[in-house]
Amino acid sequence: MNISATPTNFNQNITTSTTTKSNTYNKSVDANVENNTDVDKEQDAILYQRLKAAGCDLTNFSLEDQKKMIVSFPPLTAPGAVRKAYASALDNATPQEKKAVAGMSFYMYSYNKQTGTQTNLDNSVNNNVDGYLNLTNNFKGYFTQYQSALGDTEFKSFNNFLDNFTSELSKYNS
Amino acid sequence: MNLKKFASFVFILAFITSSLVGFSPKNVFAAAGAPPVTQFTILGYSWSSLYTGTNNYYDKSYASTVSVPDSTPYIITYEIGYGTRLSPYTMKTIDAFPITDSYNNVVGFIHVTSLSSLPTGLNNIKLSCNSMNSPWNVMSDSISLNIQPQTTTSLKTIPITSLKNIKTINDVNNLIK
Repeated sequence: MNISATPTNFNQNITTSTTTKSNTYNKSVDANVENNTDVDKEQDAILYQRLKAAGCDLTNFSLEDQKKMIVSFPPLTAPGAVRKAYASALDNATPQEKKAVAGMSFYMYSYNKQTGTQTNLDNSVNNNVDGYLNLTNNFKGYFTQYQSALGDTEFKSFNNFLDNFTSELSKYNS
Repeated sequence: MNLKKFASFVFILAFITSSLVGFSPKNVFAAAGAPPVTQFTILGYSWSSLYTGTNNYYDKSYASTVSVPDSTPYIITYEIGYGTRLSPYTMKTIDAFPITDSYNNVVGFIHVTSLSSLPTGLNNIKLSCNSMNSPWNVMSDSISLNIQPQTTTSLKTIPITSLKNIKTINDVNNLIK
């Protein structure tokens, strides 16, 4: 096995998988993406480490590629402020709230499937804090149809989390 | 006569109203039994360390592009109706999230299912869903996953004294050859 690494990902290549294909992508964090704010870069750095720890292939695919291929909520292509607000809301959530929102990306999928609402705002003019504030508020209205399926306690925890998320998100609203 | 007609109208109206109370669509479902499976789709795939905590998964369309670094992949399915999932592999339900309609009825589920001990290489995986009720139909979907469990070169196998001599990337290559 031959490794052509730059000093920046020196450690990464020491533990490179023996099954990894030839290195075609040697950039660590895609800091070269133009117009990225500091929050975007910070969230991308966190995401990079998380995906690397999860075993995602960041050798043959760039972080930007991975962000487009992986389904999550907020989408990994959402602005850093949106992802940071969601992470902050999760950090401050109660165990009940964390459990309740575990299926967020799947509920968003159903929302999109049933109403046609775009839940990944990538490539949209609304791919910003305002766009995700509107999306979350509209989603809250749709989500009332889950009240009896989830039960009052879990439903309330879910909505508390959404309120905390929008509250965090509002801090980035210009 | 008119009074009699009016009284019978009120009686009929009261009867219909009382019949409708507590007869929401939800109860119709309960009375008729679980609806059969009308849709069964694989949405994507994941694995434990990618899914845990953030519920991240790859869209199914990337299955031929992005391999799975774990011999226990997670398969995400979207099911409308009530059914039992079947597969030749050992399955375990990791998560189940309800899908509801606007009447608050649970009309289906998004399931996250792990398949244990898949062999390394390309695996064509077929999952089926058998309806729990008449007409007992079976729906299925498949996904091809390239299972490539990561076997990392452990630093423990490299003598610590050798690490002190690393000055260039060639030294690393020589060490892990």
